[in-house]
Formats: sequence, C-alpha cells, structure tokens
Amino acid sequence: MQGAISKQQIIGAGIFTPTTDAGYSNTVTINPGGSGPTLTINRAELAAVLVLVQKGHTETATDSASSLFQVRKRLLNPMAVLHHLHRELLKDIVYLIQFHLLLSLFTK
Amino acid sequence: MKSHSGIIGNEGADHLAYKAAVNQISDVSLPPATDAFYDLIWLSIPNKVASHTEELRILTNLQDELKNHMHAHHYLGEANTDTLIYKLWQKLHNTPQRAAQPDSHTRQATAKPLEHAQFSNKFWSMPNVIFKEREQVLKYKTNTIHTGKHTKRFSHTTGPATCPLCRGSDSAPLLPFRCNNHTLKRMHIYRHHHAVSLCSEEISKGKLGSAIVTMDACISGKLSDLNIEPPDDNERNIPDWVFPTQQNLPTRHKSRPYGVLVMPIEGRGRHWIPNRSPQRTETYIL
Repeated sequence: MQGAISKQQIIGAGIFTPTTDAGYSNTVTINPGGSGPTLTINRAELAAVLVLVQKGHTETATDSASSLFQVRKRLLNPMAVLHHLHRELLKDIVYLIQFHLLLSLFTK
Repeated sequence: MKSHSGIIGNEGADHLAYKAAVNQISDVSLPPATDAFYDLIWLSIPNKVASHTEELRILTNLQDELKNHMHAHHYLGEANTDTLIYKLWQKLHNTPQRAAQPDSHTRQATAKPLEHAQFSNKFWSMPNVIFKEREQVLKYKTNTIHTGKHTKRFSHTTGPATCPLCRGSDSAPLLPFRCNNHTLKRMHIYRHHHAVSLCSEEISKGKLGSAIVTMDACISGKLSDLNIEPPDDNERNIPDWVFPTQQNLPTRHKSRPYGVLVMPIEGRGRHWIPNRSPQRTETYIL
C-alpha cells in the first residue's frame, strides 16, 4: 500500500497484493480525490488504507507510519483529530475497523 | 517497513501509486474532499471603508483576556449542578450535619469536613504528578472524560457507543476497571493489587500498623509473580463479621472494603483473630 505525489500537485495511491489465491498479483490504483489544502501525500496514504479496509483486507503492510499513528489516534482519542484535515477518511477507516472487521493488523 | 528499501511489495505499491498520480488512471476513485475548514469560524463585523464600499473587520482574539477575567465561580458555567457526581464532589468540602451541632459546653461546631486537610487532596499538589495526569483525573471524576458515550452524544460517530476492545458499553467506569478484554483485565487486577499492597505496606509502617486485620488482594503466590510483596501476617478474606446481615448475598463479593483495620484499645492489646468478631467497645475503620 503506497501513496504518491507528483510535481504537478497530483496525488495517487496504489495497493499491491503479492499473491492472491488465483496465483497472480493483484493491483489496485486509487484516485484519493483531494483538492487544494487536502491535496497531500497523507491523503493518498489514508485513501489507500480506506480502500484496503473497504475491500476487507485484515493484514496490511505500509511504509507510512504517519497513517498508522493517525488511525490509532482516531481510535483511541477521537477528540484529538476532530479538526484533522482528513477527518472524513479517518472516520470511515475507524468505523470499518471497529464495526465490520474482526481483526485488523497493520504493519510498518 | 522501511520505504524504498527494495521490498518487492513496497516497490510494486510505489509504482502503482506513481502510475495513478501521473496517468490519472485509477481503479477506485474516492469522492472529492469537502471543505476542510468548514467548521472553523472567526467573528467579524462589517466596516465601511468608503461611502459605498464595505469590508469585514476581523474581531480580536479575547481568549487570553477571558482567561484572566475568569475566577473560580465562573468555571462552572452552565454545568448541571443537580447531578450525583457534583453533589458527591461538593460533599467533600461540607461538614456533616449531624456532627455540626454545636457543642453544649463550647457552643462551637465540633465537626470537620469529610476531606482531610493534609491528605485528601494531596494528589493535586504532588510534584511528581504532571498536569496532564491531573487533567485526566479531574475529567474522570467529573465524568467529562471522552468516551464512546460522548462520541455518540455529540454525533462524532455513526456507530454504536461501544468499547473497541471488548464491545461493551463504553463509559467512564469502563476505562479503569470494567473492560472485559483479557489484557486490560490483567492490567486492572495488577493495578488493584499493587495499589492495595502499597496502601497496606504504608499503613503497616505507621501507628496503625498493628491494627490491620485483612486486605483485599490476591493470594501471595500470584502477588509474587507480579513482583508485589504484600505485608506479612495479613489475611486476604474479609471476615464474616464485617457483613453480619449479608452472609449469603452475591453483592458481598462485588462490593467489599479494600482493607479492615481494628483499632486496639489501651490495655486490651491487639485484635489477633480475624475470624472472631471484635468486642463492641472496639473501634472499626473500614
């Protein structure tokens, strides 16, 4: 799972699943949909996390410690991220983790 | 994992993200972000610049002045003072009415407030307690600590107000001792035994040391596993004479004192047998 930002201020995110049950790698490209102040690399990374949990993945590996910290913060201390720039994404991620999945394992 | 370190999965995801950003081709598109600052407001008033033009003048920030102006009576604001928690809080400072009757000889009130001037609020002035800890304790005591209940009440979540660990109803009492999560439950038990042991140890060093009859902590084997050393010659079980009318009630095991001290009376010696009810003339501190 990865987020990226190009020089023209365009962001994108991608999910790479190394080997699926069918025996090939599965890839997903994501348009995070940010604009203006929300056009950040952090949004791209959080968008990838959101799509992951929406697809029902329970084990995630990422190089974005920031995203994991923010998800953890939203889980344990929701008031601390009340005015977060990407609070909508965080809200959706945490909702899915709390009430739809049995176990989510995030690895940095 | 470390980024750009040659891990195949990470490099593959990196490539996909770059491809999505540059080529603007994506399998999944999230909805556009709403205004990130829609809930941030600043007060302003219309200000005439010329005869027909008008612009908004932003008002100054009065937060510091307000903080300086506030005093202890203002802190309550519009808080509901009819709650049980507020009454219990105030009760600490009040004098018990029965004991407040004036003494027949001196005509002065003999009662003291329930709180002890030296020990009751010692926590607030201890130098090794940081401000954040005091803030959290105050929030917990006043039931304003943020829980799932508050999240639901203030519409910060669309789901139920449950604890993410044990799925029980999330509230202030659940935080310190009611979460059924296995790890947290062990933490609660450890914290309880540690606190009870510390209190008993401190009491045993003082003038009431010989008055300890029982303490409500775990068996000594488990305590030693947790690196806790309980004081010697202490019984764990609360004796039956503490609950003379509730011998068989289940509530007896749910609500029990942390420790029992029986004050010796001069000339009688120590109360040595925990299972035997003390004499009526002795004083009990529970």
